[in-house]
Amino acid sequence: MAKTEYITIKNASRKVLQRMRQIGIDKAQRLQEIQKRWDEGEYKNSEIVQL
Amino acid sequence: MEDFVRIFRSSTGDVYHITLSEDHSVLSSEVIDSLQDVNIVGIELRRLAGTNATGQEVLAAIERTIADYFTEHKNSIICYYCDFINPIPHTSKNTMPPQEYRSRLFDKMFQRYSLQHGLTDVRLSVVEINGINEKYYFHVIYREVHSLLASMIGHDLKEGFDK
Repeated sequence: MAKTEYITIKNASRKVLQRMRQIGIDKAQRLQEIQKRWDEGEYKNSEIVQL
Repeated sequence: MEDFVRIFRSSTGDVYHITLSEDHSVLSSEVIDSLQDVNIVGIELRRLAGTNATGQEVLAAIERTIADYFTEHKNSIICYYCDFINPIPHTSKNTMPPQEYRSRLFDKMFQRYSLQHGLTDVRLSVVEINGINEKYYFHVIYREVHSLLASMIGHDLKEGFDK
């Protein structure tokens, strides 16, 4: 049986929180770039799996 | 390691894009040095088109995609960050923050897939990082054989950034 372990880091320092926020911003930017490529037709020749 | 990309279209016409790629950017050099032949793989998931509620067929396709990748890449640990910026469509205001919603959803998806497929040696660590008014979530999916490394990653998320 698979298990999930929950780890809570309480009262993280300002430095850690700033880093976490920056990782999120960087990720959001990468996702926006994927969206832009789609909007500009860069994936038109890619395989799209129909569910 | 090449990026793995899959695009799929739901029966309601919505289009989703998932990328799995090597990503050591969230780890300290100490942990990276300990990895040896193990790869840390990040996930990026984006809805590219459509506004319908995400149905079970899409969630199942996401689960299969990640599971197939993980099965084929025995020396991988999957480590992903739950996005806090993009809102969750079709949720009412004043519900939980999007990163917490995603964390709970992905945890449930992992549990369901593991139960359905009888996975016994795969684990998920949910790392919740709390500030005064904010929370962030990392998920680490790993095989038992990589438990020590997964534990180091969990620790590193706090102490690695504190140095």
